[in-house]
Amino acid sequence: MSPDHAYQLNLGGTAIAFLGTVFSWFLITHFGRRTLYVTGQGILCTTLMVIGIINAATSAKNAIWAEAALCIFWLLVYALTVGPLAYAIVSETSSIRLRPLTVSLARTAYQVISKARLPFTRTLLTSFRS
Amino acid sequence: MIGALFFMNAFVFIVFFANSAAVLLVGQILCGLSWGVFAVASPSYASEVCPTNLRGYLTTYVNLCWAIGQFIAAGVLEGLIHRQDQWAYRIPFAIQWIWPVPLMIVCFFAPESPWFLVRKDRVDDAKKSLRRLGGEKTEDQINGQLAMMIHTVNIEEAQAKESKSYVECFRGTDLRRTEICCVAFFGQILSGSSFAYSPSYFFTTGTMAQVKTKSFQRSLY
Repeated sequence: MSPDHAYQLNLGGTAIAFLGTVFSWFLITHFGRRTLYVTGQGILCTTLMVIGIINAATSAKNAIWAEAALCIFWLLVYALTVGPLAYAIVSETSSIRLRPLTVSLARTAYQVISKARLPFTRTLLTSFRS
Repeated sequence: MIGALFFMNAFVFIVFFANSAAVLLVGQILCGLSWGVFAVASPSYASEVCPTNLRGYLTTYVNLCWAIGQFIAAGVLEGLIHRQDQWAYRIPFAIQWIWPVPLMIVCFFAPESPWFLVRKDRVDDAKKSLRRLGGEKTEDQINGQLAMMIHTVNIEEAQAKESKSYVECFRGTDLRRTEICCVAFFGQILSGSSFAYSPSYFFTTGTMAQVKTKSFQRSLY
């Protein structure tokens, strides 16, 4: 796939993420926080497995478009469920007295994990290419 | 919030005029301090200020704003990708100057969180805040709401033998709450967002030339 196509897919993906976050408002009206979060995680995990299976099973040139579509679908489900709900859960679960402390602790944990996963991501991405 | 926005403005100067990687790193670290304040203050303020039935929408709106920001960033980068000179990387940093000043003005006029004011024993200011936030509430309803807030804060103060500290977050029911909050944020990363948020890297795997695209830099972000 050419870099131009990849770039456009990236831009489209962020637009889909925006729309997904808007539609998540309707979902949280009808479903509980935990239902949405756990269901969303399950769908995301399944989607990633399917992407991996497609990649391992075939090296046809058109398979990459299927993977691209599934990545966009992943972005949509993420923006519908896990993305917004993490903020809602964190704001509502903490006790009022300790709310700022809990939110900052959770945010610190987020930053620590996001830096700790960089070596893994880098290894996986570069070994994938070789 | 206003302070963090003001410092954000100042720190973007460092990043914009950086002429070496070390200065850029220092500037980004300092900007990160402001971003941290935004990330913590926004959900807290949103959850304290809005009525209970709207709380879910406003806190998820914080995530929507992150998504909008990424969208704008992608658009900006798309527009600048073909420039080869130094302005290709300086203009995005300069665009960061647009946001703090209007936001500072809005924050200045926004009502202070009534829960925060009650906790600091500024009951009259809390009543003014509630009146601004309440819409068409009658005076009785505002007094009732204020009394309930004072009562809740007093109960919590009575229950807490020690002062509020980070250690308190790891005791009893608060430990469970802290665990839930931390895992909620972990799930955002551990669900593989680094793979799917930069699909362009996977789509262009093949040659070294494509590795040098901006998408590779962002996948390591």
